Amino acid sequence: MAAAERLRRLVLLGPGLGWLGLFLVVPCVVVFAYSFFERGVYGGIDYVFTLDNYARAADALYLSIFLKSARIAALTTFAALLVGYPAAYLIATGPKHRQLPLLILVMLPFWSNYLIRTYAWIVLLNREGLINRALTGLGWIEQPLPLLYNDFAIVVGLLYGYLPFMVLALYSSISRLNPEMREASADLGAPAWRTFLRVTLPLTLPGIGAGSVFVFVLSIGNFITPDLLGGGRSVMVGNLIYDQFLTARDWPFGSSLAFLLIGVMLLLLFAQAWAVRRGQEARADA
Amino acid sequence: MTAGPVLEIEGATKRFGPVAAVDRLSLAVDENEFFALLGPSGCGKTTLLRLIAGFEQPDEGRIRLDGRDITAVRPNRRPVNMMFQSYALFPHFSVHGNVAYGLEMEGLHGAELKRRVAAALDMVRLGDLAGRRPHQLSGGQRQRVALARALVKRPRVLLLDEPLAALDKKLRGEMQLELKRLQHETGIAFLVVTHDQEEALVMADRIALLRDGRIAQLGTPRDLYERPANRFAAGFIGIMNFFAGRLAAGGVAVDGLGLLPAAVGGVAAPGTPATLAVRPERVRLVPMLSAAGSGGGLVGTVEGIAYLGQDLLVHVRLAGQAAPLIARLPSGSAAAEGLSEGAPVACDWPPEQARVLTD
Amino acid sequence: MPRTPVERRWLAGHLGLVYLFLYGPIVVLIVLSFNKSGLPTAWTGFSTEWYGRLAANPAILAAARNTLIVAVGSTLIATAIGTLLALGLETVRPGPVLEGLVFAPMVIPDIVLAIALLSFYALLNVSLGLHSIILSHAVFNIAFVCAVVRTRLKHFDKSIVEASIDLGAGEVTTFFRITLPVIFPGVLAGALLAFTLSVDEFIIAYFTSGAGRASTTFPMQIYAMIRFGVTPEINAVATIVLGVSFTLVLLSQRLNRDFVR
Repeated sequence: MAAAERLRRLVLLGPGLGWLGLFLVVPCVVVFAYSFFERGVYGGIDYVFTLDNYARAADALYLSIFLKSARIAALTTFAALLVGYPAAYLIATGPKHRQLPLLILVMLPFWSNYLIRTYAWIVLLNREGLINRALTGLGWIEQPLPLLYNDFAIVVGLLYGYLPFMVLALYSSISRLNPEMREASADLGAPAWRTFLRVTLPLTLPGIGAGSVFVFVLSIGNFITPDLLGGGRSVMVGNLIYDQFLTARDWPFGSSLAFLLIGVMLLLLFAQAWAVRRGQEARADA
Repeated sequence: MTAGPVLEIEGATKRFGPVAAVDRLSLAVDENEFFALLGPSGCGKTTLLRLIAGFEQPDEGRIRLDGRDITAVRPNRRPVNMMFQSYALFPHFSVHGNVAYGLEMEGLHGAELKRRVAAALDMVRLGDLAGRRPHQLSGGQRQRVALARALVKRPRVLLLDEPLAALDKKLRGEMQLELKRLQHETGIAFLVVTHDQEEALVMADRIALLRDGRIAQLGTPRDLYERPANRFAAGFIGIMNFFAGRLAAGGVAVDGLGLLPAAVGGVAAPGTPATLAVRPERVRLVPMLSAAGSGGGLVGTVEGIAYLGQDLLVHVRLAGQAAPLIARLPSGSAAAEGLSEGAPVACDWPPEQARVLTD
Repeated sequence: MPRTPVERRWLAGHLGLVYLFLYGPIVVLIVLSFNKSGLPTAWTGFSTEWYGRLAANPAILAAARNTLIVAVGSTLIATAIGTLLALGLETVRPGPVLEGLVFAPMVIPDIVLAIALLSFYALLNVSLGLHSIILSHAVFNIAFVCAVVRTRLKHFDKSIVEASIDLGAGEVTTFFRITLPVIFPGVLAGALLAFTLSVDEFIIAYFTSGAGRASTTFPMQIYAMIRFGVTPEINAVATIVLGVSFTLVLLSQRLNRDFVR
């Protein structure tokens, strides 16, 4: 019977793991390998081992792009938290039958085409775009504001793309809160804002952590938004990698950048997983 | 029909890691028998059931059905069927569809199929619910569908995994009788797994009491209740009074209480450590006027009286004993009238009603 | 709840602004698609002219056809393999490595996956075209289908599989008559999700489609239109794409909800 069980597992897991192994793991290994070789004269690969690519990545120019990407991603994450938390809070503490529809409404834009959604912001943010026209029309400003093709536009675009994600993560954490804890806090004399700071916020930290890590990770690796809204230069890491592969044809260097990006991501994901486990242990001891 | 037992298990062992869930276990179930596997959780009864059904393979030992070795036979080919604890009804089939499924697997169809399904549903009294879906049925109705689904295939043995665990108390009582009736009507051997000793006593013709993968005692309900073979069996079934002491002529000598009368088998030497076990309903209580000696018998103080309607459960504190002596007597009896909390009372019992356990 | 009505009103106002933020741009595009002048600068009247132009645009129609082929292809592959994978993962107890592998395609930045696949195909000298896009899309689609089906499997009473076997059915019969029908809403939801993701996916398609025009997908066409030549037809394109996405997602939600009953 053990043979039948093994056959069963092979049939069920084999195709999926095989596909992922062949089309995900192997390509990533290839990229990792490439990062240690030199760029060939005509844009191919010269199989000469070198650490130059990684050294180049630490160069001031590229380092600044990495840092800029991190800064933009951090701004986006922070904005997503500020905007998303009150929204998630209201949905999670509202009437039960309204929660799912409200959530679906928040998530719906997330499932539509990313390009289209980004394009919409080009329409809204450019000099003759709707926002500027509305503002000048209302008399609030004299000159149209430079809202497009800069960091501001990128943050707005990324925020637009990933806010639903943050709301979902926060909602799942807030909705698991026992409402009696808030009531106990009030019963013991705490005003609403203190209850929020000392009870609600700390207890929803897991959701905040999960949402933040995901929004940050998705933002820092994003290509489309900085490409369309950022002004067409190599603004963020994603654009840089794109350029190395398609324009400069320096695949090894591009590979090293890709791997550094993955490294940052994995670091954050592991840190978050570790924090989650620490939190669970702490709660188990309590 | 073969004359021997319908199901035989020989030396079955099943290990999960270092632990043996079933340990060199052997038993035989007869045709037309209602057999119970009883024991606390973790004793191996469910594992044994799954070995018989074929969902687990024994590491050692054989399983025979009608004399034929079925150890290597796959579960869908064994003439054995199971009623699962969660009922496991197929949610996307109607009641009729659920019951017909097993027959379809046998290649049955058409009028013959319909006839047998209808007969099975009538037998469990669900004839007019054939078109319903499982989620439209109550817990008791779902159970009966699960029964019909298994019985319609006329297995040699029907396995039931904690059949009454999910039902409320009143329904449980009704279903106990219902299961007995079905077993008689079909003549199929029923093998029931349960942790509820009362259930096993009511329903089973024979009970195997399991502990840590082994049989602690095998016998009729009466055997297990009145003649428990060891301390575990004595304590698991019903309420039992235990006194630890040493074997002596005519009974067991307990420190601080003297010789307590019991029927001694005479095999073990006097002085051997032994336990005296006596059922609450065999204990006689005689209220005393004063704490003065009553002729050397057992004397105690009434600690508490629990009124159970028909009976009284009386707890008697004895000198030097940690646990009180528990006696059960009819509420209306003369002895009952004379009892009050804190009053002295003399206790004794017919020696032949007390067992001596040396394990 | 110890919160005053005033607080609730502020929060509700905030939520309203959030919805405005999320749907405003979408509404703008929809409105623009019906704007006769096609420009965001002036509204010159209602018109479906741009939709008409769209229907007559061969490049867009070809791209849409290609996207459909890719989406259907990768969805079929991913649904079959992803469902099997989900069933397999629920029978064994997957360690962190296995979980990580199945989770990875969903988190990895699409540009990284794109270059990795391109490098892989280049190394093996694989010809690029719609088929390479299908293979590539299947990677993340398998992960998503697997995730959706696994969620469904959490509510799945495994004992009905044993019951089916106990009643005489073999493994294959049990799979097709019991397991698959019961998890089908989840499988369908996963398939719809995979289809939507494939239709919307841009960067991986861009890198693995090769140079030929014959393998331009719809998002690639949209990207070209946005980057290099914005014509008003794009608003009509946007509206249609949004409509299709929303319908598919709502359908998928409906399926999942009907089952949780």
